[in-house]
Amino acid sequence: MPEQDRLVRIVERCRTELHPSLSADLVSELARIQTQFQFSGDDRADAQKEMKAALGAALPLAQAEEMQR
Amino acid sequence: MIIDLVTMENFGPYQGTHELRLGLGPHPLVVIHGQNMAGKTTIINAVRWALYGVAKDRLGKPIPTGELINSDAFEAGDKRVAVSLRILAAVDGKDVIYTLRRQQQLKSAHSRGQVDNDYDTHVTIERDGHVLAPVHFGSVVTSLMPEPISRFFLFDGELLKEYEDLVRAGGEREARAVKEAIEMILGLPAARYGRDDIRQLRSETNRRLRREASRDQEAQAASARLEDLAERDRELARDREETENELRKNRQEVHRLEQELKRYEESREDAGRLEELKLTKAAIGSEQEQKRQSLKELVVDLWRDVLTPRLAAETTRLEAEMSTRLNAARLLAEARRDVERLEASLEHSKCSQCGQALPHDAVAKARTDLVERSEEVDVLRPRADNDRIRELARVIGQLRKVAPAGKTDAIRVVSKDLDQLRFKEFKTGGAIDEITQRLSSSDSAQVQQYDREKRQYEKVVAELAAKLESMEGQQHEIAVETKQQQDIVLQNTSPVFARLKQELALLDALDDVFTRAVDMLADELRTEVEKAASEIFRDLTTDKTYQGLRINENYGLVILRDDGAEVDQRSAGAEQVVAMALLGALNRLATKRGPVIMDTPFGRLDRDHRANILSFLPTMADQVVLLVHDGEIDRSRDLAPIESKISAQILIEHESSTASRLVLEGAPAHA
Repeated sequence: MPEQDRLVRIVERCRTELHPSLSADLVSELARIQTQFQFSGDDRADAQKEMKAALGAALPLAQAEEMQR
Repeated sequence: MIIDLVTMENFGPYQGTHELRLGLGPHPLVVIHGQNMAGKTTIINAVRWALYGVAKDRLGKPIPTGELINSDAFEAGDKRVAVSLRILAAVDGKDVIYTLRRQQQLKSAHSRGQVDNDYDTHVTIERDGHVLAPVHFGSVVTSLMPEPISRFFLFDGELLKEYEDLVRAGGEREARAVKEAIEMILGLPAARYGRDDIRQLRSETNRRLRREASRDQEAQAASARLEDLAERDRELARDREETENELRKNRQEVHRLEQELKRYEESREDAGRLEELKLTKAAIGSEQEQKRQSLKELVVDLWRDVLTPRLAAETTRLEAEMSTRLNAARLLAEARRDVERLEASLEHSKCSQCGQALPHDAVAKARTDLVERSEEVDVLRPRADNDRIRELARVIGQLRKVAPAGKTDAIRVVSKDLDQLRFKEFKTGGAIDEITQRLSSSDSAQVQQYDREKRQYEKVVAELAAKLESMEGQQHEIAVETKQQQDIVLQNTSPVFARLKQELALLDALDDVFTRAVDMLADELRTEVEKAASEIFRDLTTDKTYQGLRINENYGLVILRDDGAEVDQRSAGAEQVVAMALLGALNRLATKRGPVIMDTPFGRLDRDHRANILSFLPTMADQVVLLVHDGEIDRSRDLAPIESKISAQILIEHESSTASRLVLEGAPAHA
């Protein structure tokens, strides 16, 4: 999806400018999730679940479990 | 997404079941012709109603079901209205056929059906022939074409007005909904949702932080303060949401009343214009009468022109016969003279001319000649019929007197003038009807009421806006203090707090990134919209001194001259071309592709702009359905250059206000 590529490109640019130590993969993944869900017609909660899963993967296990709860 | 088939049942002027096949061929364009009031706007409304359950009148207000349902069908006992759409779409790279159907039926035979509550609504949905639960109807429609962006696909005159408000300097407030929809179609919500979801997750992490802090003796004071701050923040957030909703509703009311007042202003101007139009129509009528009289006079002698070719042929034929008969008469006279001479010679046995005696063999020859010449006389006599020759001379003389009248060309000119006058009369009549309708819906007492209401709503809007500003200030103070208290709690070096600190740092950083991304994406999209709209505008405009368009942060567009200066005054036609350029740019850059259905888009355009836009339309989307009337498009002249892009032309045959039907050109009625 071109709009997905566009948002991924932009968040990557913002990451580099503002927080270069932040995981590029995580930021791109979050952008992809949001683009995918923006017209899905499903509940926004699904997008948040995917966000939590992506963030969980970027955090230590105990913290991720806490977050998922 | 392509709309393949629209089936209307008792919808508006379409009584019974009427199928409108739109996916008819490989070309993008389908043209539907119909006069005013025939049922063109009904088609756009049928699609809108099937998808979203709302049909709109020409002022943008929802039409109640009781007015949607065909009144003849209702009176005949068929008290339901339904529309189904067969839609071809690509879902996850696969071609899918959806059939969506919406029906409203009177609940009880005793109900009068005047309010929407008198009707039951049923929706059904099928995917590739498999029935899905009705609960999926909304989510499938949203995935195909979310309602807020449908305005870019179901394009009617009202939307054009909204666009014009948007592109007009100072018109941004009226077009707020359009701006939001533009951002949605361009994909800006993805960045906003990302930012909001991250903030939501951060709130949850803060809650865990407070919970952990409440268990820690050293952090208990800060924890209690954090709980207090969080509670205040939640209350403020709730109040703020309510206030924002109130503010939105009140602004909508102000906008609605402004529109009503604007219409009244227009109608006051209309009143003057109506008089002019009535005079113009009367003048056209009188000119038509004169032309009709001239035509009648010209037609009196027209029979001569009509008969001229046949008379000429008959005259030629009779002249040929005359010539043959005159020749025969000449030969007959010669033969008779010879017979007389030979008879005289034989009677006296001497030459009738020189008087010398005829020798024996000469007498014999004279006898033979006499027989031959006498036979010739017998043959020539009927051919040289003097009565017939006289008759021929008389008839030919009469025919020559019937000269051509030379009226055909004059009649052609007058007929053409009459056609033009009829067209002018039709256009003027349409304008009179439109203004009369507008005038009938406005009166001065109502206007004063609108004005009072508007001032009241504006006062409320100002109060709510001030309240919101104050709330924002309070929330900011809470956020600052919350951060200070969190820093106190996070001084704790235990593993639990260390992990929470790490998590909060991550979410803060992500918030920074997505907040910046929202602004950056909006800027980039605006730049691309400006570029695409400028390209399209240069193709559409006939004034080649224009360099392009400049966009503002509300997606308003101004025209730039080739020296870069802004064009201050724009004609109604120019507004329409700018709006069309914006629409084209949005469809080019949209995150959602869909069919474009346009209702009467050429009203204010001259011939050259109309031709440019007609050439542009087939490139605008994979499917473009154009609803037009004869007053805005000349079928042979305007559509001929894009004939190869047209899949089908459909005619709406209008019999009465409750009876229209659809006829595919070149095919029998398929209603």
